[in-house]
Amino acid sequence: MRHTKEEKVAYLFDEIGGISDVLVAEAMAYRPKRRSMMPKYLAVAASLLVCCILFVTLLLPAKNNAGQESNSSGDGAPYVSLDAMLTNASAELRYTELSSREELNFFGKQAYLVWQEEGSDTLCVSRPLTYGELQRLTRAATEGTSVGEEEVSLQYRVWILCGDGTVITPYLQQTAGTVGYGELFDYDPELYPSQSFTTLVSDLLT
Amino acid sequence: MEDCKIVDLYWERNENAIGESDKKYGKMLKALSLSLLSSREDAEECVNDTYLDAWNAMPTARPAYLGAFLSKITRRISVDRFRATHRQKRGGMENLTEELGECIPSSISVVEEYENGRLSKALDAFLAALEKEKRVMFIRRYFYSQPVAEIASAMQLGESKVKVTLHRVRESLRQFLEEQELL
Repeated sequence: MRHTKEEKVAYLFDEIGGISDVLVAEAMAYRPKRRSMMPKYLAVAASLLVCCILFVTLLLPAKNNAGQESNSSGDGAPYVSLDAMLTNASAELRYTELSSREELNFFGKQAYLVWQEEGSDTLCVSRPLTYGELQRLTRAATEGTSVGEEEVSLQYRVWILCGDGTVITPYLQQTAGTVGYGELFDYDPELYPSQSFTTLVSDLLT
Repeated sequence: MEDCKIVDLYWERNENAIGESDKKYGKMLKALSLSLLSSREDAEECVNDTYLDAWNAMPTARPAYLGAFLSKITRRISVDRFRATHRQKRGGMENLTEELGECIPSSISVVEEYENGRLSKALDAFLAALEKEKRVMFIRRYFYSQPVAEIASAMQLGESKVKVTLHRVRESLRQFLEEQELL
């Protein structure tokens, strides 16, 4: 029996629809590993540079202040990570809870800070952000320091919903591939959020 | 809600099963159908038909991967609808079948192999042997009908890289079909 090429292609196309469920599920669950954009030696050099800067800017002032103030605040205050702040202050934070991502309104013309504990489906949503708060948060979100080659595990993931469909996170550099929603929810951190970002979040939520 | 709990709802004939399915997979299914049909209304109808088919299939079916199970139904219904209503027009699916035409060796008996089930097993074997990234790319393109740009964005790759890789996989599939004597 002879068949045209179009018929054969149609059968092949149909048959692709019958491939194993495991393969179909795998394709949708696939998340790419973050690729290092630099050669390894450059990455090592960059990491060393970051360590030196951190040492100079954080450790030395902390040492100098150690004898003067036991619990300092403001300039020279010990670095508190965003993750640690959310963990330690979780009982004092003010927020509303949503049970799933589908309840989030990405296009509601209203900006929010959203965070989620690892392993939990519940999303914590801040009060609506003012324009000024959104501007300060998005600016501070760009000031993080690179995690380098280190694998960082987070207790909380954090996003800023800008209200126009755009979502950013202080844990990723703001490139075309990381500003948006959908795929952003399962990121691996590229940046440690800056102290100023953590402070802004702390002020916003307490 | 976890897949197994949603499947339990289907088995209990609980109508919340459909709501929960739509909540979890509705967007993905609509995108899949829309990419084939290029009509939002038709896509929505296909997704609704998907839930009806799933409702009728469970029980007896107990899918381990509900998303994949629903996707297959949506794809089948969407393809059928496309063929029934768009015979004279060219749309998203036409482009995909044109690309897949490269995989057909000149004398292959695809139809006969399809009818006796060999083609299905051969495709599973071919895909299982591919590198994961290539396999994911192929399935996203030819199962989920995702545009190349969307695949590139989701996989954090350039569009040209995706196009070249898909071209190579199609070529590999053609060779594989020949080697397997599916001729």
